[in-house]
Amino acid sequence: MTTLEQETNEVQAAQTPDTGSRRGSLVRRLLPLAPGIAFLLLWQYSSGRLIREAYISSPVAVAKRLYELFSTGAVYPDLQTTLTELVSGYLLGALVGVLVGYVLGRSELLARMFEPYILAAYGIPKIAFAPLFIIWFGVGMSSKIALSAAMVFFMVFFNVYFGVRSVNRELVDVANVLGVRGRRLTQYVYLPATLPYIFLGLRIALPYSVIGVVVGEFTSASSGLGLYMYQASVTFDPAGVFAGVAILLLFVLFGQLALSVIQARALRWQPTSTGRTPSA
Amino acid sequence: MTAKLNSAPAEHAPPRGAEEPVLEFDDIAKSFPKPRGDEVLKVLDGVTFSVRANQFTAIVGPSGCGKSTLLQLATGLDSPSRGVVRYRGEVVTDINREIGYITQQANLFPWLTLFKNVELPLIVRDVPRGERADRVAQYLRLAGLSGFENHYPHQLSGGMQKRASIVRTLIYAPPLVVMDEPFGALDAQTRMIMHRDLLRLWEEQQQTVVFVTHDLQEAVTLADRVVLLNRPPTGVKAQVAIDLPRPRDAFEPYAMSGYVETYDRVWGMFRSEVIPDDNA
Repeated sequence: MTTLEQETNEVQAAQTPDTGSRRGSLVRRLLPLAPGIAFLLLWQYSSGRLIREAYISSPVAVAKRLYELFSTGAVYPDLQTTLTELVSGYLLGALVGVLVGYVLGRSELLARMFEPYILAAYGIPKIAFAPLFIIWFGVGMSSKIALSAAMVFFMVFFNVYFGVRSVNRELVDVANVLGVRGRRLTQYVYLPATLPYIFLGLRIALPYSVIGVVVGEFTSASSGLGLYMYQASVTFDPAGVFAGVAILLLFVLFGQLALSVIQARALRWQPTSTGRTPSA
Repeated sequence: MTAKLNSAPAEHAPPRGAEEPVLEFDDIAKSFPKPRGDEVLKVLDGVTFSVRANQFTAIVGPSGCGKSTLLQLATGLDSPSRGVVRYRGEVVTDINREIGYITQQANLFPWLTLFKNVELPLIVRDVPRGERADRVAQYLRLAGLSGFENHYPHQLSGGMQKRASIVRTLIYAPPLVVMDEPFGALDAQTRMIMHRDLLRLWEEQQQTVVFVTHDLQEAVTLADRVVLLNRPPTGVKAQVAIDLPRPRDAFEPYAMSGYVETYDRVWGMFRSEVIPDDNA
């Protein structure tokens, strides 16, 4: 076709800037660090000058504490407990959330039956259930896994549920007429269409798994970072609390990073936000 | 219906089995609930016409007259409030997978590469892998899309997406192809090129085509027969045979002998639907 060459050029032209900008200057990439560094500097400056150090500790004191914790190995048992709870609770909640969200999203009938209950259950403050969870599942890891899974579930569920329901109706119609049915409709249409929402849910849910675990450990535990932070806070040891927070922060950041790497691979069919879609 | 006054090759003569219509609309009515209240909006009311095998039929009507709804009824994606739709003599009650359905939006699956998009109808029909690859390559060549196999839809121009959506339908050789303003969203030049390509493909494959448009000129340029609909509640205003020779000139249709006269004749019937207060 006569237009083909022209269109080829158009497409290539539209794509080239993308590879160019990926190199991006170093300054641009390090820019997000600036607010964080400024905050730490301000904190360090305020501590002992504007606000008593006994209240807010200081970045240097927290760093020292972290060094102690890791160099003596004192933190490892707590770390192991909390990490196990986090990963188990997150995976369990995410798995159930995706499954239930997907099934209710596809079935008008089940959605109508169960949506009100799930919405109502979402309104219950899960934290209030922490003591009950301890009674039901014991002081060990199970109660924290359950609490964390419960919080993760809702975040993942709602995103996946509404994601499935927002799948472009016309695209599904076209797929139907093309002869795509049953398992293949899931494989080629619904699942890929829902994937961005699944990732959104997984990312939003990540901090909630931490909240679930820490609240559980605050309530009653024999080991864990939450317990360590609890003990630090009742003994007026803000450096201990912040050290715990720092470790949890790293967990969440690492989780987000891992998710975004997986997401970038899984969703590489999506147009980038720089918008390189050539016009008609 | 009419003897064609044309110099086109013999395969354009009304072919085998032309007596039985491929698609029949029999006294179709369709109402939609109004956004507020219990009232219904009567869009279609008593639409009756049939489509013959291997003919290119254009349905033209003012906007909002229910043209697209007629196609939804033909595909079985929607059902009429009254009357029946018959496909090859059988009442359409479920999604009709023998029909090819081409929508105004290209509706390619954004998560599948161009190759996969075109291959999908063959996958779901359990065509062996080797044959699939051959046929996809053949149809992509036909549409001038070779070399773009691994592109995702957002990396293609509007015209390329459109061609891809058409060959995705033609590849499984549906006996009837319905098109819902397929070129409505394209710019004027791309549209003319698409007209030429569609005419070429059609002249090669001789499928039965039902083409919905609001553009009378497009209809007269492409079709063997034009079905004119009036404003809602919609019925068939007129059916006009377009006795213009083939192959047709998509770029300068008005240069074809008889085109201007034919267009004027059809427009004369149609203008009162477009200009309500005009008593011509």
